[in-house]
Amino acid sequence: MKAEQELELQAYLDGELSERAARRVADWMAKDPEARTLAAELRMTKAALAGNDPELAVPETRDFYWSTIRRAIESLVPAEPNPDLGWLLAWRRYLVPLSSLALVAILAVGIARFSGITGSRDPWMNLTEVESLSDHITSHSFRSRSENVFVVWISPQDQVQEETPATEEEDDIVIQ
Amino acid sequence: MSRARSPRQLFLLRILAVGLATVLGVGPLMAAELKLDLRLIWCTDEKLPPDKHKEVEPATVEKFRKVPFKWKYYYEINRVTGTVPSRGTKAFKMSAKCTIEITEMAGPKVEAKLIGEGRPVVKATKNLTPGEWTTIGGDDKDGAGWFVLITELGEK
Amino acid sequence: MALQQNKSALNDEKLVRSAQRGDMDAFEELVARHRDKIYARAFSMMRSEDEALDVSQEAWVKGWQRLKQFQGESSFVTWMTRIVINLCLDQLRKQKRQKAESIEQLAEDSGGVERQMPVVTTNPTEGLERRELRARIDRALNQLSYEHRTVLILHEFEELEYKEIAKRMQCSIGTVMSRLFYARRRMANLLAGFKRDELSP
Repeated sequence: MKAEQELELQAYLDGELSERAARRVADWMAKDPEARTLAAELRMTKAALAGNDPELAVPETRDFYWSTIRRAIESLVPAEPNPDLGWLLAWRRYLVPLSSLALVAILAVGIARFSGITGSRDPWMNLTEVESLSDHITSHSFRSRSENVFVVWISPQDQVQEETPATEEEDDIVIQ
Repeated sequence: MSRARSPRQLFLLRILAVGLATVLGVGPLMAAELKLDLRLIWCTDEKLPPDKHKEVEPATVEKFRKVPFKWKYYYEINRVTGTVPSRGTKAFKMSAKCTIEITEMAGPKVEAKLIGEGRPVVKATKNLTPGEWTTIGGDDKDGAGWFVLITELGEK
Repeated sequence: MALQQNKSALNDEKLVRSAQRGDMDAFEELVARHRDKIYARAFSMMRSEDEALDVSQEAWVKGWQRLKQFQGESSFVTWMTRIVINLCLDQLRKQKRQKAESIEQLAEDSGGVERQMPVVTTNPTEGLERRELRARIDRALNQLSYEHRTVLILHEFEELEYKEIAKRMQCSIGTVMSRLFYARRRMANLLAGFKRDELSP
């Protein structure tokens, strides 16, 4: 019996063949005792395994097993929204129409600084790195916490950035 | 099956591992395939003929506006879904000039790299945050813009 | 304790809904209820108690993270089983257990070794109590390479189709078929061997 025939026989027993192919294999089996013997062994193994998945109990107490899981889940809680950052963005939104200027960036790498302001439980949780890979490109990034959107924006290196028109009352805020 | 460590040693090792992971900002290993949906969006203040340009659905546009993206109209140029193998990389070709390469890294981190006209342009490495959208884009001529919106599809 | 008793009276569907709203006590009850099954699946694939503990706990954490995406298309335990299987597959691929599998891999690569195994004609599991049968199956699984063991587990115990197995194992359907064939033939011969050992003086 060829290897391909053996695999086809197996596929027939597993119900993986088309109706036409299944009929062909059934006809062949009826005529070939070697095929019938092999099929009997495959069926026997299937029957032995069916529903006899080895059972095991977790070798730790309920509380101990759960305590590891709970600690890991608690370490996943995202940081609280940063109200200072939101205020900053709102100010920038007012003064800097995005459609006409490159976005003034708040580097996400600096988020540890802002997280310190908000008292986030885990200042490292949302640590992000953004790296320009081209000499001709500048990249900026920020996270909109209210919308849960992270933005990376690129602009040509030689693009002249227009000065933000500071009002008489407010100083321009330098963001690094 | 013999255990190499006593239960107490295991307990202490695990405490240490979780503690280190927290300090380093890398959560427990979340090794798994990453199923992603990527959309190439073009943004403009000019309304385009609807028969040739697919508008992004209003709920999503509303979210863009709150980010805040200030364009009036958003059109989906292309949409690609795919699976990034665990600890592997997959390239998502968004257009003839734009490819996004996503690499699934140790812990809940992913790296997204923008490749423009065959050359790497920018790379962002970040934690996967549940429900977060990631966009990588830039300005286009005449005040328009474009970006690739990356979202994670649910586990089956 | 009163709280635990209260949760233990709820079915999985109610516990999942509660956990999706952030109720960690409900999730703990789900973990307690299904931890053995998830751990057993992890152990069957990893064959190491420590690794099975780690992977099964990772699976639960991931299940919590993804809980909102569970829509009830399958049972909760089936959904969790898929998660732990995927994590096991990732871990096994990462570890690349070449050393342990070198003999098995050679056997597969050489092609046709399974055809040299005698066909088992007498049922080697006849008359066995279920517990003993399961123990023998476990012993036999331990002697397979991780690829052969995995394909057998995914097909025989998880009842996945060839196509789905190929996708999860990142190989072709043809490879799934030949691995499954080898694994089954080897399983039959191992079980027959255990029977012979039992009967020999």
